[in-house]
Amino acid sequence: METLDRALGKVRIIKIYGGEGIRRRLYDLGLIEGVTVEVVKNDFGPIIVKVRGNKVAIGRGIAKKILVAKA
Amino acid sequence: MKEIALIGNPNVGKSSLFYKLTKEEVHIGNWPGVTVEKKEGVYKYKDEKFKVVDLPGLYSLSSEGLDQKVAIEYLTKNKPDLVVNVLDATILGRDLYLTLELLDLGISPLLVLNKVDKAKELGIDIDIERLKRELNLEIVPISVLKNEGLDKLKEKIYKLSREKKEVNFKYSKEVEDKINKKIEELKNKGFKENLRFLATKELEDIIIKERYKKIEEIVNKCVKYKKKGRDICELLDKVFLSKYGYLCLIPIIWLMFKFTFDTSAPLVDFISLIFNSLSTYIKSFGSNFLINLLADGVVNGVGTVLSFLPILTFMFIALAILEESGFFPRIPYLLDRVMRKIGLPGEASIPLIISYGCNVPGVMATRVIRDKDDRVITAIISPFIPCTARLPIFAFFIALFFKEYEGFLLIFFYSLGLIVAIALTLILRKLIFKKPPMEIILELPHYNVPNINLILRNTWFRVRAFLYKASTIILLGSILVYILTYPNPENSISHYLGNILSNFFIQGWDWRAVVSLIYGVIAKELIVSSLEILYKGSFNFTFASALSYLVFTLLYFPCVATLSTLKSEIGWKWALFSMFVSVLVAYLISSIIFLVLKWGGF
Repeated sequence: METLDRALGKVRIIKIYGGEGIRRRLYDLGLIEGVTVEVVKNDFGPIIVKVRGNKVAIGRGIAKKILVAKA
Repeated sequence: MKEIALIGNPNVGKSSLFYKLTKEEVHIGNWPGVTVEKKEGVYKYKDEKFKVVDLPGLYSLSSEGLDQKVAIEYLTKNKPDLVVNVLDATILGRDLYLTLELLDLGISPLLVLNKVDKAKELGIDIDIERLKRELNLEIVPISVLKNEGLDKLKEKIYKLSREKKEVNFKYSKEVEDKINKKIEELKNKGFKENLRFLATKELEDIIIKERYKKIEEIVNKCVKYKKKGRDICELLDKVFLSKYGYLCLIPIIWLMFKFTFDTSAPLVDFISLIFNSLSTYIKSFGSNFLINLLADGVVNGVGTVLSFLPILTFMFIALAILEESGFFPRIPYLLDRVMRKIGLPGEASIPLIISYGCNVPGVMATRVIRDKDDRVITAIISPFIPCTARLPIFAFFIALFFKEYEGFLLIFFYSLGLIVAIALTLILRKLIFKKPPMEIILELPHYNVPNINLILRNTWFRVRAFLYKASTIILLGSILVYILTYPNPENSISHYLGNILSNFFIQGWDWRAVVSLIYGVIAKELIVSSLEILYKGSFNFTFASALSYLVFTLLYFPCVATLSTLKSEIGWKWALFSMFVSVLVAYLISSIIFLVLKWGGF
């Protein structure tokens, strides 16, 4: 297990830490615990994940609060 | 008249559908009490008139946000005759979430599957009959871009808006039991309306997962992915979102400004000509206070401000093209790291870029920023970005005083505003808005070919709404300046005022220079014409006083159009704050530059 800011490829979201506001915004875009997402870009700046065919950019600080496991 | 509401996720083509349906009768305003845009329009089909309300684009009804608040209040209080839920056929898995929320709210929406043509291209095969059965909802597949399915949609709206359909959709038995138990509890507490929705809100953690589980089931049953179509989007993203992707920004932004100013230039001249002729015509009726007020104050003043309307219009068009094509939503991603270093969120990059063209749409664009503090800061600093209206002043002074320093001053001119904006942000972050800027959570939509027809219509309504809002303040400002300089500058209040005010400036400007600054409040371009008229060719500037004057004009006071926009976006308090700070900063920097230059012997 690792946090999202270190992940690449297909991962499963285990737990989202962080405040209510951040969790809600992630939920809105389909990023919930248990869902499998694909980290398509993780080099500089925000991380890009693909979730349900949709690309979402997530700030590094927020990604640090998302625990994932290789899927 | 029947009332129908359009609801859907951002970027599904909801607004395009809105303009396709409503044609002419459109009104753009704000929802009561908030700066969330409200679009309403009317169309006729058969014997019935339909009022269409375009709700803000949102991913879900449950998050905390103005958009959500507006949507929920509207849906539960106004109870439209039909809710039309627009979905993007290429990302059904995301869009159905909102649909399930509507069902929990007791609303049985008509589903509109937009972009079916694109889904087909990408090899996505949707079994619509099956989807209908799974959700117990009516579905119309359309393509707004290709004008397909719109007649069928109108027919369906016509039919469904006359009947009430009960919601018939259930989660798993286990979850339904929990919901029913909660509903009983709520009943006992005395709640009467929207019980199911309230219950699902209280059971949020369970329900969110259940909804996504349900969606996955439905998508697995109804959607087949055949061959993987060749995806240009991926290719574009490979380049644009790469490490050096921001280099692509330079030509894109350059083209945007080039288009805006080259296309609008002849129109600007044309509008000035019309207003000048009108003013001359009015004066031909005689010469008394009222006639002169009308000709010189109202017509000329308003004309000057309106002559920047073409710029605004073409800027809106350029922006809409970049927005719709999918390039703009990616800019915050590219610039996020840099922006955060200077205390701003990634989203603030868009308003600041636009402000280089014109501060008015720049301030308007701060709406993309979700966090209120972040948004207020960005709006406050936007007027420091040198808009193109300040270019004539610059050109004028260079030609007169600083020919040999042109290149250096050009860079100075463009960077000074930005440096001041950054410095001010850092100070505000230290003193008032202490929490760090919000990190981005940002959807990167598919690239699209923009629909020019729709963009033009959208722009027209937007410009009209701006005119409507700004006309009062522009009119009042023009009249005020006229009265201040009545009957002629040498014998007017402004001469008197200019004399007093010039005492406050250590830069050695005489009353004529100071009075021109008052004119500049209406529109910065006016400073040049005012200086020319008042000095009649013999200018009273030294090198130091001229350069400090130039700096002052670049920084002080957002023009009235910007001020009125600031007021409507962030309220009077912050608008006045921005105004006050800009004058203060302009005064300080200009004085320092003057003193340094004087000390250096210029």
